[in-house]
Formats: sequence, structure tokens, C-alpha cells
Amino acid sequence: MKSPIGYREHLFGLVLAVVYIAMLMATANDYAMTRDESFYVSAAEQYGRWFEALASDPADALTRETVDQFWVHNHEHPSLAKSFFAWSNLAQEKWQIFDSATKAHRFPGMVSAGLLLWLVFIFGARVYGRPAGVFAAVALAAMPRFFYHSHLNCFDVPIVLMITWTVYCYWRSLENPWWAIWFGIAFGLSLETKHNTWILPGILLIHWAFVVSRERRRRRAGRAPRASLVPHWLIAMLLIAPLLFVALWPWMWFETFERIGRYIGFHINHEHYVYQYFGTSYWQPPFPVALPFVLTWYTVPAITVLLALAGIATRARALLPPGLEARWWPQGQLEADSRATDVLFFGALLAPMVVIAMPSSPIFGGTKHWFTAYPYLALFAGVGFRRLSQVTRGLLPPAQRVLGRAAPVVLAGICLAPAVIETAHSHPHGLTHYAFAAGGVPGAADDGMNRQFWGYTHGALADWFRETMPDGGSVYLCDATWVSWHMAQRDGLIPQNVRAVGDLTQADYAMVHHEEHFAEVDFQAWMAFGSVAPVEVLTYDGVPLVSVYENPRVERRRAARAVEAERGSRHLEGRPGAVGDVDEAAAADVDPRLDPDE
Amino acid sequence: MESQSRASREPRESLGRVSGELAGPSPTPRIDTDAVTLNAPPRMADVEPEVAAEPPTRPSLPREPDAPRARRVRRALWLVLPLVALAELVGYQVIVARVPAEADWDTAAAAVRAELTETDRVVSAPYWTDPLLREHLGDQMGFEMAAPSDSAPYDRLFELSIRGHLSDAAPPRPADAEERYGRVTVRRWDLGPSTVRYNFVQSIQGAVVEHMVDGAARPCTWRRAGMSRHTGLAQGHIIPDERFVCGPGIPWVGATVMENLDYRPHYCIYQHPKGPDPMRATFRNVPLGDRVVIYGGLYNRHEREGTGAPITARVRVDGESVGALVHRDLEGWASAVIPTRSAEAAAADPDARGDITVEVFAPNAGYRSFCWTGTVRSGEREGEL
Repeated sequence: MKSPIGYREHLFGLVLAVVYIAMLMATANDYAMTRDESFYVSAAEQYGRWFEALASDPADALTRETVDQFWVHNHEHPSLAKSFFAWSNLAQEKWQIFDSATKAHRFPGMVSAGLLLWLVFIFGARVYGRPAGVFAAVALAAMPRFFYHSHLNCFDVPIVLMITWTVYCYWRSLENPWWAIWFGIAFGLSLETKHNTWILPGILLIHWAFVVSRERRRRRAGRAPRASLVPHWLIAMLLIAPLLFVALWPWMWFETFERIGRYIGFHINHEHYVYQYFGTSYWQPPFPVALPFVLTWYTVPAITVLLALAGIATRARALLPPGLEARWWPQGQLEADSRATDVLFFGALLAPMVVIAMPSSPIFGGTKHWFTAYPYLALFAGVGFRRLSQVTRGLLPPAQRVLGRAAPVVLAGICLAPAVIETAHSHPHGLTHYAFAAGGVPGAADDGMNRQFWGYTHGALADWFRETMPDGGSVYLCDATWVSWHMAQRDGLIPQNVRAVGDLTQADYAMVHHEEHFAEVDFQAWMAFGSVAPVEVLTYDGVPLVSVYENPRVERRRAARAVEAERGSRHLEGRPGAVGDVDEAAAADVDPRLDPDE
Repeated sequence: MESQSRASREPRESLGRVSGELAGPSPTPRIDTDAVTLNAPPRMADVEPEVAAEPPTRPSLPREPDAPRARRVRRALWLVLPLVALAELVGYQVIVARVPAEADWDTAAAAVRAELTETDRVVSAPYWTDPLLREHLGDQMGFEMAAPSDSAPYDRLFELSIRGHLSDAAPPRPADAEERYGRVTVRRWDLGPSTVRYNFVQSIQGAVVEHMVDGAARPCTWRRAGMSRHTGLAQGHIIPDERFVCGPGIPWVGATVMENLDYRPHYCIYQHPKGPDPMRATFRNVPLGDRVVIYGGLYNRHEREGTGAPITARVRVDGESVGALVHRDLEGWASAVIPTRSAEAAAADPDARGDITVEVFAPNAGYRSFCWTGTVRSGEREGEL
């Protein structure tokens, strides 16, 4: 018997990946960099210098002094994703492949998103059939927050790819031990991507218990063995992954155990940044247990979530512990397969959300903290869609073959349209977007939900800054970072002569990002500039994202220039006594505290 | 037969067999609960690729006949899903279409601007629209209006509202006037003449500010001392350029806008206690009315942990203590109503004047960024202190 998954399926997956990457590339320049992206830009540029040193003088590059010099940057996160950012940036420096420096840094992240869709399709096709796989991949691509994060040079989508790939290799290894080697490699690379990987062994061990229990029951019943009782995957995980983790992260080559301990400690004791949820700005634990579930419902298109729940319901009997399905669910005949795949998917879906649901877990990154669950949400949605297709086709007259073939396509269109349209509408304000279930962005604002974070929304004000500040000036950045601003200038998004300043009182314009806990900056701007009126408010679906305040000295300069221009033109006209005729701008308004240069 | 016909329409999917598979026999069909038909064996077309279960080696428990009604109900439930998708598709467009246009805000604001006087207050609802309100009418709003404690200083209240919301400041009765400008509704409440006779925040520059050391008063001086340049998140309130300066190590006193525990702004007199010895602000020869209404609170980050010492803001009239606001952490923007004199005295001499002093002290001054606002009032107005 042939495997149902062949080169055609992989070609389709490749097309999915390429199309998605192209979409991401086409829209990437609409976003200014986030805070975290700017940190990784700095790190990637340093790592790039080290790679260059490694190529030119390996002996020196491998010394502790040199390694520490370059790899100390952002050593609280592992190296893999940043290394790819570094190589992409090196390629840009050498060959100018991309149309912006920001895109060069972001490209590997976008590629990881495309590869993830390919993998989800293949995984889904293998397990539940091609229709389910296709639906799952598109449903994942059309989650608005996922679409946004797919653009970034951050770790949140790469880790979803790595963990999903790791789970896939584990699943394959249950029937083919050689895949355990791939699993060990995947797990090591996943550890090298982000610390979300730490929960994976727990998921797999629980699942393994299901597999072993089921397999033992089979053998006791005299049936042929289907799965090995030798945990090849565990052996590979213990032998291959740690070596790979250390080998690929130069920072860990020295004082290895101590630095691993500090790395773990950093994340276990991570500072809690403020996050608003139903009108409360949470700044310390305990955090709401329902948060990941509610936010998933509020940010993922409702039909996707409902199809996933329906899909889980259709597979529910297969989730029961071995031997209990006959006792607890005697009417059904659905049984788990030998690899208990439904259990694996359900565990991989639930575990990230349960971890974040724990009252002490950080919530400040919102949905990205449990993104690793989303491929499985999409896969179960694929199951639900497939069942829906079957039911619908069952209702059609037998003779209507054309209708029968068209029905799944039409249904897919209906079920994916909300997601696609919401995703398109979410651009370029992905982190502010809320889905229909939340009442959209205004509904979420009414509910007091987190409005934004990471300070990237100034990108949408670029045109305004350019038009308002033709002669340049200074801007207070609020939550945006200097590197983010600098990257926007490098890419031509923001003019070079519009410079960032760190002191609001000394700026020509002050941005204030509207997150509840940033309100104090709003009030600082009022006091500093003597007015509560912003000159510009950036909104998304009518909800304020950023206010911009103008220093009164800007208007005074404007008025003074107008007077100068008037004086100059009259002088040129040669009127007698022209200079004396001109009304001088009132100089008494000059406030030394706000005009240090005058 | 019907079931076989139905089964024949299922997509024909090949069985999966992974190379290196441990098990001998080829995967056999999975039996999907909802697709089960009576008597007919599962067909190849029902197979899920690679995820397959062998038929149980012991007979499964007898299954009840799959009642047609139960089947119809299950199918109907599935068909609800595409309807949900369509509802979501349409519903999301409705949400986006109902966003007020910029022109709605422009015309509503213009209408309010045409009527606004010095004794009017303007607010917006829901509160998250406040930046839009200030963008359109901020030039008509000073710090006091944008960062208020209540509506007592005002005779009328205007509200610009969207999405059917009502402001917290609105009185609990229907508006006296209401008009729609696209998706923005303007409401007006006539509150009646203000009960405020004197505003401490507006008068701070004329106050006498002292800090007490072992019972002796040390004066603070009002002067221009430079605005603070520590701005940004977690930096708190701006230190204003003009303020009372009290000497090295002694907190300044002056008017600023502070972010309170609930992240709302309050334009108030910053009077940080320095310990058990009071920081004192005396307002000379002011109307006594019949009561002082005082509000007070701390900077959000200094109060939110709930571990700080209580702060007392004691009110004296002509040197005599008449009451105090005692603020404890997690109370937020607290208030107290303190009679300045007896009701008989107030009735007998409504225009009497005197010196009102507000003394602020705390057993421990650490992170006690106390800011207060107060007014002298006489008369009553519905729903107000």
C-alpha cells in the first residue's frame, strides 16, 4: 500500500508556504518594529559580527573572550532564531536582497510561518485526511494575531514551528524508531528556539503512557504489536537534544551549568509586565485562570473555535484512557489509533493554555504565550470541517455529483471567509484586533481588554510625522524603542531629521501609547505642554491607539517663521519702512523651561 | 442500502502505511461513530489515512438502533455551524460599519462648542473615547475639567457618547437635552448653580505653605524652580515649574496632574507628608460655606501594593480642627465631607470668611505621594457631596 502522503502533498504544502510568505513580505513594511524585535536586531547584528569573525579567524572567534563579547547580548534567549536573523541581515548587507533592513531581519520569521503551514497541512492530511489538513493550514494562517506575529523577527512563530515539528517527529517515531533521531534533533532545535519547549516532555510522557497502556492491552489480547514499548524518543531526547542545545549556543560553551541555571532562573522569575484584562490592569499574580481560554475566544474567529470544539467532540471517545471507553462510552465504536493521535493533539492543544492559566504564569504577551496550541486548534477545526462536509454531502441527492463535489469547497469558503476577512481587516493593527466574539475592537475596548503592547503602532503615524514635520524636529517615543525608531528611519518610513528624544518635556511632539498603565505619560504630556488637547489621535475602528501632543514652542516657531517670511517678502517688495511696519510675534510667550535652545 | 449509497459518496482515500511500521497487518478501517450504519461493514472509503483502529477483538457492546430522530438532531446541530459562520461574517461587518465617522465627532463637537460656557463641563462616554473628546474640544478643557473629582464646580454637563454608553459623571436622571450627530449622541444635563464657593487647587499659589519641625513652622517659598525632566512610565507626576519649595530633603507643594489607583487623572495639590510632623497649607480669608469636600489619593504605583502607612489630611478652620480625610492604601481616590462650622452658624452668616488649613501627615512617609483636591461648598445639589 502506498503512503497517502507523497510529493504532490508536499508540493501543495510548499505552495501554501510560498503564498503565505509572499503575503507576509508584501505587508511587512506596514509595521514599525516592536520593542522585542528591536532587542533582537541588536543581538542579531552582534551575532552577525561573530559569524564574520568565525569565518575570518576561527581560532580567535572561539575563545571565551570573543564569544562572550558578542554573545552576551540578549543571552536570556537562545540562539537559533537570532542566528537566522543574523544570517539574513548579513545577506542583506552583502547583496541587498530585501527592500528594507527591517524585512531582512524579519524574513526568517516569515519563512518559519510558511513552513509551519506546510507542516500543519501534512500532519493534518496524514492524520485526518487532506481536506482536514488544508482547512487546518488555512484556518491557522487566517488567525489575525497569528498573521501579525508571523511578520516579526521574534521567536513566537518560530517556536510554534519547532514544537509542532518536534511533536510530528515524535509521532512518526512511535511506529518507526528511526524517526526518534529526527525527534532528538527537533527537540534540541526547539530548545534552542524558545523556552516554551520545556513543557513538551510532560505532554509527551503523558501521551506515551496512553500509547504504552494501549499497546499492552493489544498484546494481552493477542493482537499484533503496533507500537514499540521502547521509548526511543526519550533516549534521543536525553542524548541528542542537550548536546545540540549547548553546541548551537556559544554563550553556553563556558560556565555551562551556571549559565543554564541563570537562563532557567531568568524565565522562572521573569518580571510581570502590566496586562489589562476586563478592566483590571494586572501587574502581579495571581492572574485570571480563564484568561487564555477567554482571550482565545476573543481573538480567534468564532467559527474556527466552534469547528475545533466540534472536531474534539467527534473524536472525544478516542481521548478516553485505554479500556475505559467501553465502560464510559459503550454506545460508540470510535477507538483511538495505536498512536493515540487524538490524545497527542488534545494534549498539545491544552497544555500550553493550562500552563498560562496557572495563576503565577506570566500573561503580559497575551495570546502569543500559548501560540503553540494553535496548530492543534486548527487541526481539530479541520476535523470539524471534515465532519461537517460529510454530513452536508450526506444530505444531498445521490445523483447530484457536481453538488457533492462542490459542497466541501463552498463550505470551506463559508467557514473560512470570516477568518480571512477579519485577518485582512486586522492589518496593520494585529495586536489591537479582537474578533467578532468580543464585539470587535470597540467591544473589547468596552470590556477593558488590553489595547496593545510592544510600542509598535508609531509605524501607522509615519505619514503624519512626515507631513507635520517637514523641517524635522524631535519626538518623544513613549513605549517605542530607539532602535525601533532608528530602523523605521533606515527603511525610509520616518524621515531622518525626525529624531527621537528621551525627555518628553524637551520634545517637539510627544507620543502616548494608549495602554491603561501608560496613562501617567498622558498626564505628564498635559503638564509639560500646558494643554490636554492632542493634535493627532491614531485610531483603529474608532478606538484610540496613540495620542500625539505638540509642544507649544512648535506653534511659536511656526508663527515666528511666518513673521520672518512676511518681513522678508515686504522687504523684497521695497516698501518704504517695510521692516518697521511688520508686527512682531509676541516674544513674551517664550517659556525658558521648555525652550532650552533659545 | 441507503447507508451504502451514502457511504459510496464518501471521499475515497487510500489507506496509509508508513514504511517501517511496527505492526504487521495493514491498517483496518476506523469506525466513525456518526457514520456508522446498521449491519453494513465499514468500507474502504470510510478509512482515515494512517489513523486507524483494528476492529475490537471482542464484540463491542450492542448498540441501540440509531434512531432517525437522533440522527436528524445531530445533523441539524452540524448545519448550525455554517450559519454561525455567515452570522459572524455579517456581524463583523456590522461592527465595523457602526464605528462613528470622524465627521460625526466633528459636528457633535462643533455643536457643543457653540453652547459651551465657563461654567460647563464636557465629558465623553465610554471613557476610552476621552482622547477623541480632547482632540476635538481639548482647547475648551483645562486641567480641572480633564482631571476632575466631580461636577460640583459646574452648572451644566455635556456628554458626547457613542455605542449607547453613559458617563459615570451623568446624574441618575434623563438628560435635559439630547441630539444625535451620526453615531455620536450629545446630551446635556442642567445641574443647577454650582455649590462651590472656593477652590483650593486654583488658589494654591496664594496659600501659605509651611512644614512643621518640632512644633515650629518653617515656611516654604513659591517660586519657579524648573519643571522635572523625569518622564515616562513609572516616573509618576510631573513636578511643575512653579511650586512651593521647602528646602533640601523636604517635599515640594504645588498643583499637578496625578495618576490615581484607577489610572484616572486628578488635578490636585501635591502635598507629600514628611512624617508625623505636618506639611501645612493655609488659605487665608476664604469663604467658609458650610462644608469642605476634600478628595485625596496617591500615585498608582505607590498605593497598589497596599502596604503603605495611612495618611491624614486634617482640616482646620481658623486654627481649630474640624475633621480629616484619612486615606488608607487601596481606597483609591477617597473623599470626605467636613463641616466648616455648625449649620446654625452657616445659616446665620453665609458669607463668613476665615482661614482654612489642610495639614498632611503620616506615621511613615515612604512612598506617600499624597495629592488632594478640595472645595468649600454651601447648599445642596442632587447626587453631590
